[in-house]
Amino acid sequence: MTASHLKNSLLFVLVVVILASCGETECIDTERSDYYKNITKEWFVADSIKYRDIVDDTGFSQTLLKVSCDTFVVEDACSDDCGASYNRFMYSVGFRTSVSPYSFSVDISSGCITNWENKNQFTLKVMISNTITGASKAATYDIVTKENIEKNASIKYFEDYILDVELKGVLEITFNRISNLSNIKTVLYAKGNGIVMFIDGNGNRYMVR
Amino acid sequence: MQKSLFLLIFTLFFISSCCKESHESARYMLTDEEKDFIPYEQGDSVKFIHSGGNEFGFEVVNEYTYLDRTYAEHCGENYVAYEYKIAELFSVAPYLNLIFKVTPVQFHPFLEIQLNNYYFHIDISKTPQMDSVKLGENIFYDVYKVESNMYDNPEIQPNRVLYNKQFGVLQINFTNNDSITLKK
Repeated sequence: MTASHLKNSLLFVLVVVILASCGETECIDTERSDYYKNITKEWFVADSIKYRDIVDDTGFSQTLLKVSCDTFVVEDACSDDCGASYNRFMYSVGFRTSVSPYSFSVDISSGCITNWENKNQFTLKVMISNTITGASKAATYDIVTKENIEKNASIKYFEDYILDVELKGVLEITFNRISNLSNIKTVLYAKGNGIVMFIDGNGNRYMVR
Repeated sequence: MQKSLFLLIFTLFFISSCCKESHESARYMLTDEEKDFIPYEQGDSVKFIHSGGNEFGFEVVNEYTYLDRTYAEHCGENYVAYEYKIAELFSVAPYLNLIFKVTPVQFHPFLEIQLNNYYFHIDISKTPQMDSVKLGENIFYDVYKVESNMYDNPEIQPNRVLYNKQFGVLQINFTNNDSITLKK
């Protein structure tokens, strides 16, 4: 290969690189971001919910306690190439059962939709732990794509779900594997209500009322 | 001058890191009578009935004695050796874990009963509070009663345990008036 050939090849590569990077600039889609922000907020737990009774299949009763609830707003967390910026919020709510050794933590966060990216921006993460076995599991639902981000669980979304009452907007999270049958295998989380039902690995169902 | 200062600091550091050997100042072993306060044996199955009518069983999944020692907070501090006995009972549904721990009366005269994350302590150096108690069709004798002090709490939790040496837990009551009772 002569020097002139090499020069031409380098020039060609450079042109290709420049062309590839000359695409559309990344801009925040404020309208869609606002839309998903509002949908994401529907998953918050109502302030009026503090203590609720749980009854399992054996008739044993206990309490589901809301132990924490916090919201943070990060100003201008998203910024784009068009000079715009967008706020982000993070909402976190914690529950624990009064007798069984279970605790739940739910993190809901918003991001921003751009013309380039819409994945993993508006998410709902449910974490479950058992203080006796020491096990913990988490699954994250993408509110925009309606998919499970990790592959350790299946997450189904139901527009309507009848438990004791009819619920609007319910996520059913079932973990593929649990290390101990006493750990929680399936959990139902409803818009505005939080945890509404869970089932352990032995099949014992805990209804939150 | 600098060398002497360095030597002094080094010597002080060396002296401060010297640690006297700890010694056992006392040893408390469980008597047979104290061990008998936990009547469960590994492999046993114990039946209970919930006040709602459901019957369920606890399995005795663990039972052992162990010689432990107190924690020495400072270097060279003496420690006390003591024996304890543990029995662990497990129920699948409802999901309940009961752990019993007894230590020698002379060391710490309590039988500790742990139900999941709740603790009750029975003073075994004292005589039982109740001569007898009737639970269902059964009469139990020499019954210890221990209650929790957690009032004005809206959550459902265990608040009373009835216990005797012959059978162990006879009944556990909860703040919503539910109970689980030994089924003989």
